[in-house]
Amino acid sequence: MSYCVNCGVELDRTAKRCALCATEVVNPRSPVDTRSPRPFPGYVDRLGAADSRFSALFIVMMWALPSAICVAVNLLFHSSGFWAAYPVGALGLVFLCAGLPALFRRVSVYVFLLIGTCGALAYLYLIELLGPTHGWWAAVALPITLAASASVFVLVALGKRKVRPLYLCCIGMLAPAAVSVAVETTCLLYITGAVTLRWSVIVTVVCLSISLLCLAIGRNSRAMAKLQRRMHI
Amino acid sequence: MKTNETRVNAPWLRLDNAAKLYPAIQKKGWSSVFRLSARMREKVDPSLLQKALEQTLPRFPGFAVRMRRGVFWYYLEHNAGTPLVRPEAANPCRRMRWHENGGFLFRVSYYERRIALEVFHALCDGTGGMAFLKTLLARYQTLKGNAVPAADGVFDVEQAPRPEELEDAYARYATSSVRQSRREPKAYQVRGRRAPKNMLHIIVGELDTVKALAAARGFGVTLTEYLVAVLIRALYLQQKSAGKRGIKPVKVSVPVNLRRFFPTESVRNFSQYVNPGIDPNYGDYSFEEIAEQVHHFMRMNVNAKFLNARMAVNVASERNPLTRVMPLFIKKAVLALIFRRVGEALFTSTLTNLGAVRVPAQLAGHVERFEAMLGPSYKNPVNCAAVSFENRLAVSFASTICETEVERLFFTQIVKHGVPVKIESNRT
Ligand SMILES: [Zn+2]
Repeated sequence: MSYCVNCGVELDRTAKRCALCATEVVNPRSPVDTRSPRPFPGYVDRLGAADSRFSALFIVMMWALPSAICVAVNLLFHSSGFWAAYPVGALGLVFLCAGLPALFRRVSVYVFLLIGTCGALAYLYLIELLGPTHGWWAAVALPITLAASASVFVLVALGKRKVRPLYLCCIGMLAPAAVSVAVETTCLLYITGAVTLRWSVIVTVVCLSISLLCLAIGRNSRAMAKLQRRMHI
Repeated sequence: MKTNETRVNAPWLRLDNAAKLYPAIQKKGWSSVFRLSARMREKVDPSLLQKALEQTLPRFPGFAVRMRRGVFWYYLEHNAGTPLVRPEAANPCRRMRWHENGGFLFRVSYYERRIALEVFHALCDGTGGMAFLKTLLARYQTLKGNAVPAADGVFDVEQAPRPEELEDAYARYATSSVRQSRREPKAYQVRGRRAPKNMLHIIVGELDTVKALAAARGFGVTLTEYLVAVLIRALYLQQKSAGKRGIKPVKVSVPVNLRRFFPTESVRNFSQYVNPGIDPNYGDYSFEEIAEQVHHFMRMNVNAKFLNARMAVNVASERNPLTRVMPLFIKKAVLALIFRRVGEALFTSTLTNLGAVRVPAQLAGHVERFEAMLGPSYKNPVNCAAVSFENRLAVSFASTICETEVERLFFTQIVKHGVPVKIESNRT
């Protein structure tokens, strides 16, 4: 038998380190027993398998049924053009953004963000292909979609890091500012060819001031305490 | 309705007073599941265990149930069949979901030499669970060819279940006219890095019962009081080292078996909590001072009168017409909110001592040790359960955080008191 040199407790023969203080077991007279069964099994039972199988079926049905109906109706009345592409594409996009994450819970959220962005771009491209006007996808849709998804990406990354809410708010407010600038710039470029920002400047100023305010409060512990007291629930 | 309740093999059962809370507060991080287990002297035979369970379950109609939603309350409905015994998982006390496991609210699992029973707290408390586990073990040994008589808390499976065993004893005994307030100052909460999802970290310390009793006597306290004092000290030192501003009281919730004061045959819930503790704002506490404080607190609070008053508040709020007519989904939200604010917030951790387990001599030779374990909870990341069998006292910590500071302070203190400790863990 081995003892933890740090805690003085006896350890299981199969323990490589002390469970209490993580000190490694070094006992030249009795090396760690790697053959005997450990005190607890290694297999982890994860909840949720049964649940997601049911919801998977539900989600796929929710997507497949209306799509099939649309295509069928379109085939019956094909004189009106291939309009079923719009609803089917939209449903597909919803499936990519909401259905897939619900189905594969263990896949990273960034992968779904990437898939969602590609899906949105593909859908918009489809609309351009089928629609009367051309050229707007590359000029407007692409940059705006990319800007929006980049902001979401940053927000998700921050949210995962467990940044303090005020700092999250501080950086989070920059996202609508960036997106609004991107929207106005690309729209103006597409329509007039010249860029003179107007409304996005207002949005940016408002967002920036909220952002700075959050930063100031976040850095000032007394103001923070006051806010917590006043706003406590 | 009332006659149904007392009829044995009743098609449905009301939840008892304590049980009403558990389905309402049960959710992801909080399972309200506890585990009792026995380490045998030989490797467990799963097929015999399954047979033993099939023979045991009919004797415990309170276990052969599924959870149902009524309009105003949850209730238990008779559930035919037997759940399958399963290999134990590394993460015990997982949440019970109504549709899984054939609807049953308990699980029986095995690993090497261990037989474990995990129970949703709405079915029973530690005493009821122990009656089930002992009967299961007795059946298992009998099937192995070593007949075990129905004595020392082992139920006779040939006998029909008796109505008294399904009694809601709270309803019978809560007679106190004193409505003791549940309000208490909020207690310190341990913080730490969250364990991976679905994971519950276990550290079991095996103590020598005789030496632990001697250590407790040395401080002039009972074994439970001693363990509670050691835990309070560990939490108190952990709070100090965490270096947070605003020192809060450290309190430990200790379930008391009410059957000691109010005799009942019930194998359902019948326990009540008291929260001994210290307030470090008064100054530094030595271990002796903590032990003394816990000892006197228990003397003061653990008696029929005080416990009845505590029980009466809960029963009164259950019987309040306003509570009763509230639809279940609202009641659920309200209960969860109240529990988060005045339930767990009032204590730092829970320590339950199931005491010394006694089994018939024919069974005792095949069992090495009994273990108890509490499931995860919202606010209190570290909880503790103890049970002794012959000369082995198993003290199990279940934790939802990665840090082990509380456990380390707890066991090293016991070692310093001259009691040898052996540690086992599912942490790798
Ligand atoms: Zn150690």
